[in-house]
Amino acid sequence: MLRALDITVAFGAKCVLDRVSLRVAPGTLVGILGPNGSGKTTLLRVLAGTLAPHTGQVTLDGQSLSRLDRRAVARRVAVVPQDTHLAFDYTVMEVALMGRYPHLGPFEVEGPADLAAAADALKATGTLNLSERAYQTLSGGEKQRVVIAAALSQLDRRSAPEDRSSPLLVLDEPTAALDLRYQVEVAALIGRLHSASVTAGTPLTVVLSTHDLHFASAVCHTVILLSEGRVVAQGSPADVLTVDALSTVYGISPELAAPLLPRVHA
Amino acid sequence: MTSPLRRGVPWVSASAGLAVLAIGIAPFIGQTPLEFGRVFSWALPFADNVDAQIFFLARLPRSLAAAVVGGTLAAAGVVFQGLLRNPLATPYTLGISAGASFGAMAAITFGSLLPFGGVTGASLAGALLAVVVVYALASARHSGLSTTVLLLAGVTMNSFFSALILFVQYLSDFTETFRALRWLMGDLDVAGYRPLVGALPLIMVALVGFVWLARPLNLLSLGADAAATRGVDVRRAQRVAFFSGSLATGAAVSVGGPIGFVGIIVPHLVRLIVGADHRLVLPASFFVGAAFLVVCDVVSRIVMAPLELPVGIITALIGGPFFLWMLIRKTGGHA
Repeated sequence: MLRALDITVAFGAKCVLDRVSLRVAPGTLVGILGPNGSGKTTLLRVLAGTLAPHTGQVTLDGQSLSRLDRRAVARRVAVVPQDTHLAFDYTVMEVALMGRYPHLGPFEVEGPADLAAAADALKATGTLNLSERAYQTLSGGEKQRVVIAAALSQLDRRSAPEDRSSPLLVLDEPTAALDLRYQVEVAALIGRLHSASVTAGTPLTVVLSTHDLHFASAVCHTVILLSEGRVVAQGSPADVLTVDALSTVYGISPELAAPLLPRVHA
Repeated sequence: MTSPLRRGVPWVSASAGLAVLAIGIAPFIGQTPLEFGRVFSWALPFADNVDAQIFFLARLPRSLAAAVVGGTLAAAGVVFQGLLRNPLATPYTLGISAGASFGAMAAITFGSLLPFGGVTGASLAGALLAVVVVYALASARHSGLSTTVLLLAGVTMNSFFSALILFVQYLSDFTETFRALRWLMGDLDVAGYRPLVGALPLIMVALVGFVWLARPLNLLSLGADAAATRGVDVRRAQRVAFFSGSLATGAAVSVGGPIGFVGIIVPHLVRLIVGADHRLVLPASFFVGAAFLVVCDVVSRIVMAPLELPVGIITALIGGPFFLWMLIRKTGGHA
């Protein structure tokens, strides 16, 4: 169980997150929605432990993230940023192997188990055939899938099978920079990865931010609506994503908000 | 499935072989031809064996100095490129060589006034001064090291120290200016083994840091935040990179002066062959850098014999056009 309690983050005088509290049940898919600047990315950074909140705390199964060792956190929480730019020409396989970092000692070299974890992760995202390619030569959609593969290999438990806690995958606007086809592909991939993890017995917890209402309601069990650093609503997509809520939060008229909503087939 | 790391190991071994070969052969090349049999002959006492004296007292220390300086600068280049996430960074980008040069200039000009003599020590002190200032600036406002502030502070320190160097040169007389200029060109005309032995302990410490850094540098190339989410202690990695890279650069510059371009040409060529993994790039760059500077030093000794060109001129003549080619290739068609 991932819990955030009374999170406040301020950059200078600007309060980016204002007493945000939420809980994410193990094995669920949670979508965070809200206008630009509402604090989505900041919230994800706090949940992933890369940004320490000014007040409040994040706990993972009762343990405070700030007290946990960075590598221990990384073995349980993996992050897929909005876009990943590499400074040097790594191959796809090398990028996937970077996910194994928290599983290895300071001078340890990846062994067969790590290679297998990376290969399985690439296979799960349909990018194993690209493994020898240079990451920088890939298309946007391919890059996104490779970075998701790196995150999966990071969460792979084969070197510590006794750990039964639910791994957490955090994705920051995973479909934002992609064209229509890749949007559909990546959305489907996330759903597929989740159901595969449930079948395998280590259900993946997913927290993602998005602007895509259809994506959120199709994939997520719970959505959280943020506005100006506050949680405005949280619950099932059907309950939260209403004409009223959207027109208030995004400041658009109800007539314009209505067609944006995914049609619910009763 | 073989690991990508394992596939690069033969290249690292080959580059080590290349370095050993260069160090072994270079001392035989020069104005006075040496005979292999005579150099290693036990029949003659060392005092009477001119060939052995030239080999062991004049040329071998020079080859070794070239190898250590070249290897260290190339490896330090890799570390700074990783730290700044920029393949065009050099060991001198952050102002360390400018600080070292200022120290050396001051020692050459005011040497008689200073309590400690020695250009080597003064250049080390100058490098240290630059390191401290740049670090203080870059870590002042952020929890981690901001690479943008590091770069800006480095550029500023470079021009500030250059101004100080010009000021000191203005105050110095003709012979001092000549010596200072020669030092600035980068010169391996070392007298015996002493400069090398003095710098070696510092370089060894830095190299230990480099070995630890190899894997964190891979992760840092994803960006600081992404590296942190994969379990890297970003702050520690950046600090180790900054200080070990600076220490190595300061020590190398104190031996050979600010020899340019080794720290950028070599890592770039090495990456074309072994790929991007720093666990391969760092050792391979060290060995190739060693071989490269040994060869450049030989060229500088024979190209205008009996005149000896400062080796910095040779590396700059090769490095300048190379750098431009890299720049054009990078902006022209990076697929």
